[in-house]
Amino acid sequence: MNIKHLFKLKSYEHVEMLIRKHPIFLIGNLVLFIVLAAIPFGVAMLLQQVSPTLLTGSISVPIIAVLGSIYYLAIWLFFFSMVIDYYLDIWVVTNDRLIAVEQQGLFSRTISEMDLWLVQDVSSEIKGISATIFSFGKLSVQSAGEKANFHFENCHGPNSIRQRILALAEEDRKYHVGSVDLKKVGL
Amino acid sequence: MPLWILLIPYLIFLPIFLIFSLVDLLNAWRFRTGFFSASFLMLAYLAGTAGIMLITYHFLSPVDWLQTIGAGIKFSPLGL
Repeated sequence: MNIKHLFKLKSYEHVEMLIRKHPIFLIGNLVLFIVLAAIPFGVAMLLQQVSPTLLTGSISVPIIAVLGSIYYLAIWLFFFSMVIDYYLDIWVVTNDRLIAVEQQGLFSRTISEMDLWLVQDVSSEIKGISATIFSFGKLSVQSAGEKANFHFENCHGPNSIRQRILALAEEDRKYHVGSVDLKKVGL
Repeated sequence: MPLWILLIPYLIFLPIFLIFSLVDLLNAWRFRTGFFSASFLMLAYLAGTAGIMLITYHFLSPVDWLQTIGAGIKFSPLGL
């Protein structure tokens, strides 16, 4: 595992969980890519019916080849960007903190952290037929401090993750019992 | 229309494609987490890109570009 570019683990810290969106969203992108890739074949079949000489002409063939190449390279890049977006939207849960990495487009990403002992409430929400069948939903982590709450849409198995985060937070809070910080946030 | 003009949008598109690809590949490499192999992902992307380029070459290589460029110059303001 190589996450040293995202954050530095403390000496006593280890990764407990990596949370990503449900793989069904990756499959959805793949289906979209296949559909987009099939469109030119459909157009070619249509052209063969309407104007067969267009697909064999000495000038039309290079034109179609260049346009086709641009089209396929564009959708290939689009698909790869979708995969990278899926790959880089991640929550890393360690025994000490929760790190949320959100990739926004190609050139920007947000990395936020929350101490586990500050976790006040974790809620999971599974809404709809497909979410129930494939077990994905929204996970929200509420902080006791002034930091913004964390939300993760379409994560895989939000119920079990919620239980795990609550257990880890409870475990981590033991190390902060009686500390000034804990009293300050009202825990 | 001279045929070589077609290559202009292609030559504009390719550097843009290259820049975006490099950013994507760099992101995948720098922020790899081991969930599934970033190396495999990158390799698959490069292989796919090479495949598309090869197919394009397969279609474009029989074209006599020298002749079409010549024809293009002949009928363009350069040839006048």
